[in-house]
Amino acid sequence: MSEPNGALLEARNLYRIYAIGSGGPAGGAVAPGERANPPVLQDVSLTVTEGKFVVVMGPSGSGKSTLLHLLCGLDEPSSGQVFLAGKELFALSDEQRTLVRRECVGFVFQFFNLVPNLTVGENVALPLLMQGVTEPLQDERFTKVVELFGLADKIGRRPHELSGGEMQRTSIARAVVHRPRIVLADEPTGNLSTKAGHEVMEFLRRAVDELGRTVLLVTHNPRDARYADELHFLKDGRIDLTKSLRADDASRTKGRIDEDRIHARLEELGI
Amino acid sequence: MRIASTLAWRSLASRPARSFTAALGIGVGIATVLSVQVVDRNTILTQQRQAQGETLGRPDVEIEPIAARLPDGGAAPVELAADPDVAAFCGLFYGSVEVVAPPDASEPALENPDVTIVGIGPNAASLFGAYEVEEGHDFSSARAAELLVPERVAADAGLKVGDTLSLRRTRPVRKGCQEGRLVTIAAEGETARPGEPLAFTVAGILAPHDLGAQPLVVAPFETAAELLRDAHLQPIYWGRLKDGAIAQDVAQRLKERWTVEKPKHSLVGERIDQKAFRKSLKITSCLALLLGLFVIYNAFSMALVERVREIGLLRALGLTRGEIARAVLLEGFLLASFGALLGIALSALLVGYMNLMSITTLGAGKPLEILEIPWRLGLGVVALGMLFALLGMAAPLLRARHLSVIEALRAGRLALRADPGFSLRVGLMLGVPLMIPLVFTLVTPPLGERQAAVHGLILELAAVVAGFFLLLLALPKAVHKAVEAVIAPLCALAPIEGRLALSAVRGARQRILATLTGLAVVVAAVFVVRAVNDGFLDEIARFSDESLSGRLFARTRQLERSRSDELLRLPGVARVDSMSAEVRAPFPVRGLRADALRANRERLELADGVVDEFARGESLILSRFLAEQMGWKPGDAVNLSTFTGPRSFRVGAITDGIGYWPDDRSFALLEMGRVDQLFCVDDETSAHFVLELEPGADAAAIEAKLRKRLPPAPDRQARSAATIKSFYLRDGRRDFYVFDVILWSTAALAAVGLLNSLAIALLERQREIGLLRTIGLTARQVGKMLLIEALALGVVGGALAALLAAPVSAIVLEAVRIISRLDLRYRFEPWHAVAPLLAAVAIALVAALLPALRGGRLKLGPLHRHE
Repeated sequence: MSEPNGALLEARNLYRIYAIGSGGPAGGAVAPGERANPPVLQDVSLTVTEGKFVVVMGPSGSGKSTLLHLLCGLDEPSSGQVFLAGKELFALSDEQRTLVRRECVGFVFQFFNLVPNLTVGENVALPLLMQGVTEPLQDERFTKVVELFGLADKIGRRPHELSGGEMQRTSIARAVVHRPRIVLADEPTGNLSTKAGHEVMEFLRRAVDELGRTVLLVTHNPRDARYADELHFLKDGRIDLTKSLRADDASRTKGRIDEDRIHARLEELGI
Repeated sequence: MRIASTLAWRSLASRPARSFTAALGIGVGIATVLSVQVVDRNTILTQQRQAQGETLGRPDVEIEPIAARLPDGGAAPVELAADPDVAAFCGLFYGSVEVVAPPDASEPALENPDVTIVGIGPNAASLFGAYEVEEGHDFSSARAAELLVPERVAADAGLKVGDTLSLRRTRPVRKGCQEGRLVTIAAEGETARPGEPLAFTVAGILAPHDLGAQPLVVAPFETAAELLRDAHLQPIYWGRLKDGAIAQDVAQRLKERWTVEKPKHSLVGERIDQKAFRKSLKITSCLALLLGLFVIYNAFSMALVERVREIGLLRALGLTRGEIARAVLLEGFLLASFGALLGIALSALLVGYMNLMSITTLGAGKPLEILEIPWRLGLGVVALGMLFALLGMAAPLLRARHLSVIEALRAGRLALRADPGFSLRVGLMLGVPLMIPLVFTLVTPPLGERQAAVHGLILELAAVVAGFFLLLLALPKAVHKAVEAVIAPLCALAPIEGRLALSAVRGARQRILATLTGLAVVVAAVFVVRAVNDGFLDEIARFSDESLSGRLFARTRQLERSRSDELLRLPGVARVDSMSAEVRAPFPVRGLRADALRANRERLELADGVVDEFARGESLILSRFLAEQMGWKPGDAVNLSTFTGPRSFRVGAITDGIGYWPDDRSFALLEMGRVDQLFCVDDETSAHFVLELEPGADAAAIEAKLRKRLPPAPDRQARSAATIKSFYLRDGRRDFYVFDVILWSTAALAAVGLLNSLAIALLERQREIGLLRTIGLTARQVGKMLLIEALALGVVGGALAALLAAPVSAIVLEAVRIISRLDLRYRFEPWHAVAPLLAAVAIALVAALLPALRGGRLKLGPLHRHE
């Protein structure tokens, strides 16, 4: 499944700069003659290999969400390239990018973003429905995911009837049900209790280990970062790959990065 | 498509109130148009059925020569052939013939030898459907010696196809008025002997309808004319007009030697004032459909605000713009379909109600005998309604397509890179004025010589509406300042609610502008229609005052002149005149004594010369409507059709000052002696009288006395001008009941639209309201805040409506005046400014009630969980 160079997702020299008064990250790119804010992302390069759990860590305002949006083609870079599943995203039209996203990407958001009108089952089945599956609730992938995430008794409920942890589990189930090449998670535990957050991270880890998914997660929480196979640090819009950590480097817990090492690196980087 | 259908169904089902109000908007729009169309169709069918038995040939126009003579040899009249608007015509006359028994008596003979023969032109069957040949064939040529015989006549006489029959002209006997006496006379060239026999072959047997239902025989026009040579014949020509041609234009061109009239059945609902009434009605009902558009726009905008995050999420998850559009369109289609069903059900209720109340499109009190559903038209209206609904979604759809995905996800509020709806809104605002002349051209039949004047007014109307919209677009700040200015003083009474309302208004400028525009247009439309109604009623009142004042009208049994004078000349009555002297020549001509005209000379401002000329029987006084209709002016020559041929009179004056009751606005007055001389009308006995009152006489008191004094008769009546005027006005108001049905529907739609707008306000701010409720704002205060906003929208919307309604009313009334030829006038009165304001405020407050209640009942828990 890997691409020729082994990278499922690759960012090359990404810059993202917003014009002054453009309304922040949602604003437009700098047009000729416009004054610009300092870059949100500067020369960011990153490679995500298939089957890995990759975490990008950084403080608030470091550009984590912007990076995530660029990596899946929701936003466009001021310069640089993104390759997803062998396709250069920004050489594609908006429509084509959307279709790549539909096929290859699963999303987990901090605020769950479940569709309030749909039931839990329909929310989970949404990506299958988008792929044209006529009876998504009968699909084997759906059944498996619902069981894996402990949602079997909740599929007829509406999102507002769930707890925060249940909502996020639903959100993760939706992100993986169609077996995307990569799951992108934006602070998925930011809105949850410690216990629920831990549960959610366990589920993401299982998605990698048991379902063979690839996960790219952005967070500011060192506890979440422990679950990563690879951990990169984003500060002031830059990633210094020389400072990245790998699970192989971890000594005490197999498949986890030691939290002390993370704290030490954070201190070293002044984050 | 499955994803689209899932999302569409779920969206509709999860917000039943919003779905229902949007569908109701479509439904009320469709129901209003559909019910008016159904009632109009059945009104026409009912009245046509009542008039139909009398019409043969179903021509567009019936053309008669004033000279009442058959053209030489029965040749086609060159004027008709040359007229640019007459596409085809067919002559027809009735004559008397007798069957001549052959010497050997081998031919079949009729029991009664006197037979009516109809001479008819060659295209009578093909173009006018005057008869249908059931057996045999039609005439082989225009000069063939052939007969067509109705089935019944053939059976009675034992005639069959191929038989021969000899006919000859009977001895002509004719009575007519000559110098005031009824005499038996022979027309020029007529002889006292019967004509020469002519042998005819029976070419065909006629089916028993139209001409085939009558006891007569039918021959080719030219052959019959030859057979009846020298007889006095009164031909009539059925005319088929070219597309877009107008009968009145033909009448104007041919008026020297011909009268041109529409047949009775085709006149149902086609009289120019009826036409104007029906057109106004239909255009007004279409307005309701347009308002449905406004409601849909608001409902979908609301849906967008509510679902902005959902749309952003779906885009992030991989739903393309096209798929989003399909889901929204499908949702709209489902909503429109539901609205259409609702519309059909509502229109059935409305039609039932109108039928129950005997409200028709030609006035009230005329119950429908036929209730057919015009399916094709009905489906067309439903389809149009659905199309309007889908159009109403265009702007919200554009907004949905241009949504910024990241910000939608991040902020959960309406996140647009720019306001793509703005250009659409500008387009709509400018498009509506442009559509006015287009729609007018499509729905209004050609108006002939009045076309240019009316088109000028329609352009003026479009310019006023465009100007109004441009003003709103150019000065949006002024509009918002006005809304804020209305709220500001209320802040003293309700400081928190007032301030919150102010912040709501400041934070939603586009919504406020769109809502105000919609409300102003709706309320203005309501008052324009009301102004047109009032214009008609005012005209009725003025006409009654001018034509009837100072007079009393009485009906009783036949009385001789001396007896009527003795009975009816009460104190205060200056003169008593008979009203029986009326003839058609070819329009109504009434006899008027010269001294009666002289007595009114000053009131009517007539010169002595005009009265003298009238007294000599040389001139006519025309009613204003007749003069307008025929384009006659004082001094013009007018031909009257008399027994002895056309007689020319000068138009002495044009006035409605001597009107009659019952109301007939199209007539001429001729000196009584002259009427008697030309038409042998006896006014020595009469059952119908007009009493001229002395100046200052108490009409009501005389009316009461007269009632007691009139000899008993089945239809005994005594009515003063005031009583008749009140009858006319009551009838006029009843005729406009149907407009009230539409106006109520329209007002309901406006309320639904505004309700949606306020509900959007509530949704946009539900988190803020949730927070405020948490820290102590009461449910009542939330409701009050919405009511304050509604009040401000009502006041400003009403003021804008008044600003638009006044010039539009003046222009529309002027256009209706030109079309209907009635003396309609627009007068601005203070209530024209106040009433729209009050109406808009009332609509706004009613519409705010539901959102105010909902706002107070917002559940706080889910609001805080809503990120």
